[in-house]
Amino acid sequence: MLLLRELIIKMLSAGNDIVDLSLIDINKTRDFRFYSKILCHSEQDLYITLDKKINFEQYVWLLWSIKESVYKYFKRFSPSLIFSPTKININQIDFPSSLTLNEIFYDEEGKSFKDKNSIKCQVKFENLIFYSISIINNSIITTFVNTDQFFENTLWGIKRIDQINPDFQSYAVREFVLKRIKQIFPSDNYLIKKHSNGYPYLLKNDVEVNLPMSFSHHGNYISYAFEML
Amino acid sequence: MTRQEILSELKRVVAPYTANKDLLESINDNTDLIKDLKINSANLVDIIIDAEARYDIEIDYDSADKMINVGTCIDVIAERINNKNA
Repeated sequence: MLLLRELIIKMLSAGNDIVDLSLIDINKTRDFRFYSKILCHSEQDLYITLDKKINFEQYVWLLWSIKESVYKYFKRFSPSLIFSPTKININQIDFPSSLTLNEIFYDEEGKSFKDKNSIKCQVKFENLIFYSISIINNSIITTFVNTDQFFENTLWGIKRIDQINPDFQSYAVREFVLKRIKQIFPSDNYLIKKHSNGYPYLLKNDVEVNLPMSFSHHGNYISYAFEML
Repeated sequence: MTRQEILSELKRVVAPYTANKDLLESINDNTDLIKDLKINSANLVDIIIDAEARYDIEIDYDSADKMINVGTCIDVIAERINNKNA
């Protein structure tokens, strides 16, 4: 375990997630049988201290997206890892001074999250501390995680798409990230493949590029993150 | 309940959440819920909750995280049903 811990701190990975809020079932989310499979007891208590800055169903899906992102980040180093939401624990949550949920969604790309109106959390999993940044409005919740709390090397993008079938979602997110990568490193010879352990990786002229990336799609929204030194 | 009976009920539980409805009829123990049935991970908790209601069982956290493919889902559900009837 110590070796794995060292590996995760030193090596780059990427983890992100996006939730299309139009697809969530509010009544189901508020059902104890549902949310208790996602939130541990301390996280259920944590909500009470938040003074209803967000609705409970938004809170449940915010934490879901954080946990899913941490799982993706970690799984690159630990292929046999199984997603178990209650074992990934959010122990600190910081809201921006003004959180505007009514902002209209628009496609957006960036590097790091300076000046971004976002929710920042500290997450504990397997004795490691992760940091998360989540962007939330009435359409989506999207999260990015890292072991670097400043996300200096994280490039990210979120976008609305018209079709919701999984093949198109998968195609659209790959096109979206490739367009960004080509802007930074112009070349036509990129290809994204899926590793047998589930994560995507980039090839240039058939050689793997050290640019850890993570994709997410849900409903009408897609999101990517990749790490660049 | 036999494994076959659980399987046929399980098809009904996962049906609302799969985008790959053609594959649903031919699923077997090795069918992966996410990779093969294209179920979004955000729906996995829905499936666990719906399975609990359909079989009148409770699936705890440790069991829930084993439900990766159809075979492990049936294992967990069969175990819970047996425990209930014990």
